[in-house]
Amino acid sequence: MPNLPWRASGVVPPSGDHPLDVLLTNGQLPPDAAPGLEPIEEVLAALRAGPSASEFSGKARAMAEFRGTVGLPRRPVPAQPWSLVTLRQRAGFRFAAAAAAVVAGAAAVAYTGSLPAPLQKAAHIALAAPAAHVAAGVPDGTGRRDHGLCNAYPRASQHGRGTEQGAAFRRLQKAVGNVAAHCRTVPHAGAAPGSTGLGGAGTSAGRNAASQGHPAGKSPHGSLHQRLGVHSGHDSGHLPRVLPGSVTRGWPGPSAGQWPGPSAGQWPGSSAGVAPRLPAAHGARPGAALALRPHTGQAARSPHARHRPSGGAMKRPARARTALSPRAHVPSHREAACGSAPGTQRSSQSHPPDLSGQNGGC
Amino acid sequence: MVGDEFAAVMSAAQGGSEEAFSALWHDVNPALLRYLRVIAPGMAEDVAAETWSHVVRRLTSFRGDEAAWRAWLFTTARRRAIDAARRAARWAAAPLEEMAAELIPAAPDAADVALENIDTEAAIALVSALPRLQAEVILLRVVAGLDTDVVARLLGRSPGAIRVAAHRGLRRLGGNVSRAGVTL
Repeated sequence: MPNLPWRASGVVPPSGDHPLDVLLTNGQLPPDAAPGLEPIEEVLAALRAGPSASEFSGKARAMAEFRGTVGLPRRPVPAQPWSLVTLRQRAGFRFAAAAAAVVAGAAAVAYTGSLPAPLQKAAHIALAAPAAHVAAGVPDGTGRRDHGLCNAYPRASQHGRGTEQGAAFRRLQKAVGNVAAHCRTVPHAGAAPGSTGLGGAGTSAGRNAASQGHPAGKSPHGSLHQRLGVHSGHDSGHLPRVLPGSVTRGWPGPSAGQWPGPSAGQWPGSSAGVAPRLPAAHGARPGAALALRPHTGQAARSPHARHRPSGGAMKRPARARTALSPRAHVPSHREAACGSAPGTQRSSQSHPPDLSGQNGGC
Repeated sequence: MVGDEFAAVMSAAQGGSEEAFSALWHDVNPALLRYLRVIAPGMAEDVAAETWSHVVRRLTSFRGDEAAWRAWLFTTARRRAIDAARRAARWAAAPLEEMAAELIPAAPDAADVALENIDTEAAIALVSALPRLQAEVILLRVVAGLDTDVVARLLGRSPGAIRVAAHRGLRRLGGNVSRAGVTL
């Protein structure tokens, strides 16, 4: 072994960094490298030496990790051939699922009370859903809440405030369908059992009763007030007395019990003591004030209607007096022959004097 | 080093080819173990397993050449080694004489190094005797095959500092070999 001075001292002679860089990069010293760098080259060569068997221990673990993470996908499972039974089962399952969804949705809607009245009633029976009238917020069919609406419906309809404009009436109509028909079945509050429901003014029953002159309570069709939807005077008095056929448009009339009753010479709504100027009646002197009759409990007449002022300001038009009015005086035969009845006053207009003398015995 | 076939091999491995991944593993794992034996003595195989586990999970997202592949692998290995050292520092409270022999970082016996041909284990032992930075630089430059810039980024140093550390480490390494009376 050569006796190299640097080997004995263990000191590597200084050299440029270039050979080291080359040694690090290529693993070999350049040819012009200074001596003394060979050990380094050897060490580095040993570090780069081939692998030993012990350096492959752990491969199994790494491969297992790889298979579980990045490994090749499994073979796709071949799809089973479609069979008719499978298709039917799938279609049946889908249909059943769709039907269940529809039923569930309908039940949910029923519980919110949004179904039409017939369906809501069915849901009320089958599913214990709220009844139509209860769910929709309309009266519960016992008559208490329907009663008020049914009372007001005829008047509102005639004045154009029926289902077209009234929200309550629309709800009622939505719940029951035909408001008029429903109101006939609604029992009058406090009415005797078996009595028919409220009728609206303008219904056929009401008109027939009125034309026949049946007094309230005596009509074979039930109480006139019930049929007409009119409260009696002792009732709440919320509704006016409306006689069939006599309703004048544009003026609802005062409510019973609310009319204080004008005293002579006074007209409610106007300054005391000043009577309003009403349209001149036929034959009346223009500008004549109309003196009102004292309050006798009778409903006041419409200002648009003709009235007979007292005092003879308006003369009754000439007409033949016939024995139709219950108050009309029925002359006897003698009166008819003689032209007058004892103790009766004859109007010169109604009974012209008999100048023919044909009636003897007078 | 895989060489020119690296792109194909990597693509196949990312596609799930076990043969391709095995080739990659065979190519890098020995160098990885040699590096870890110096920076994480006694825990090299466990840290190597953790490194491969981390790499496999993110293998499909890797994009780059072979140099980038090695850089990524050794960077991951270094971080795992640091984590393992921290865990060992928290857990290790036993006296030194109670520790298992394989866990005690032992300096290479100079006589053994002098009498035997320098083999890989001896070389690793000689490099382990160097300061930490110099040893890492030499291993990453020589064993991992990374260039100065990559090593600088991996260690968080400047390229100049890495070069100086490398030169000093090589000279010290040469001196250790000479003092040991290595026979060529």
